[in-house]
Amino acid sequence: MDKINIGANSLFYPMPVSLVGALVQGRPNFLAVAWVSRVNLDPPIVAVALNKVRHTAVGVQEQKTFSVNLPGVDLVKEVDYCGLVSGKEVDKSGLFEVFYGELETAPLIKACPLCLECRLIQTVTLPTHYLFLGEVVGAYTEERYLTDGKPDMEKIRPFLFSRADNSYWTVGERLAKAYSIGKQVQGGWK
Amino acid sequence: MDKISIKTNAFLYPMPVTLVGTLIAGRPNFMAVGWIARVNLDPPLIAMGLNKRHSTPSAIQENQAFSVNIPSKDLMEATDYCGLVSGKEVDKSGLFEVFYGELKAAPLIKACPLCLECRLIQTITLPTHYLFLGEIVGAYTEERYLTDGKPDIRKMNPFVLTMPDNNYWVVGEHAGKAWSLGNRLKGEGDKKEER
Repeated sequence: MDKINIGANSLFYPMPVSLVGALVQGRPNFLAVAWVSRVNLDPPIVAVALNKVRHTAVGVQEQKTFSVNLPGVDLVKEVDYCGLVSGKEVDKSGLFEVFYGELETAPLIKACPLCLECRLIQTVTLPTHYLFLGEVVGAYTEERYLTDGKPDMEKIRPFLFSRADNSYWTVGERLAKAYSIGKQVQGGWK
Repeated sequence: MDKISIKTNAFLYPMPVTLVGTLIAGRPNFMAVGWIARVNLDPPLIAMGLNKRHSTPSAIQENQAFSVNIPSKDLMEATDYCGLVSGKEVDKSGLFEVFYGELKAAPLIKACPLCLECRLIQTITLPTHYLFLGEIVGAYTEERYLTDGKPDIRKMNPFVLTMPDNNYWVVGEHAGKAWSLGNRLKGEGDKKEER
């Protein structure tokens, strides 16, 4: 079938869903962020892109720290709420029970199965967004999310965001092992 | 339950699964990439972190262009293969039928339901990785993947990757509409505000 050009702004793929936390004027504030990715192996560095108008962006720049919290699907309403209302208008500090790790200004969400505390190492100013690069200095989870000492996705139950349909999706069935299933292609492909 | 500290080499999952395409010595090469995100609204920019050891980074710098292709789950084996073998050792140019859009050095994979062609606009050098920022100058799909003119996740059938357990997963159930579900909490938030 023929390929059609659908316009450059239509990027679509399942994105992770995170809550980025910062202290803004001394109060924890959280924003739902899907434009987030790991970008460096050693040291571990993550990149988050925040619209310049976001209240959270002020806190990241003030404190030079932020948190990235990965929610389970049971928090989908709270996550969406954090994307709907701005900390400029509503105090979101009471929404979650928070705790702090090594950095005293990166509020971590107790209800999230995985919490990362990050030290801002670089800010890239883009036309509409700031791209904040942060070194992960602490990572926290709970025993109940681990199997044999490793994070277990079926216990964590992360979820996805799709911009094309503005919807959240659960993660479905496990398909195969990565860095393994492709070995079937090796040798046999050509 | 109590929080425990784990190693900081924690991943942000689930990750999208993409095939990044470049030309190496004039031949299309593809690499599996999960460290990728949209980073700017207007113009549309994406960023991806690539290990410096791979052969794709120097090709991107040489060509100033690359493609990002989103495979469906029926391309899982071929996608994983692209992550297992290096273009330094194996010629991956015959793996997929390619086509080109506006950029002549960004090979797009015909079998992928969504293909983006990107012009390199900035390279940030990190300790182990390059962070490439690209402007999306063209996006391609097929009528059969659309519903009412919009990409349909059920028809595209993308898959996701989780690490450190190294598993691929399908997309599961619809879990609610964004910028909508949270409205139900608005009352509670307002009450908290009053208190």
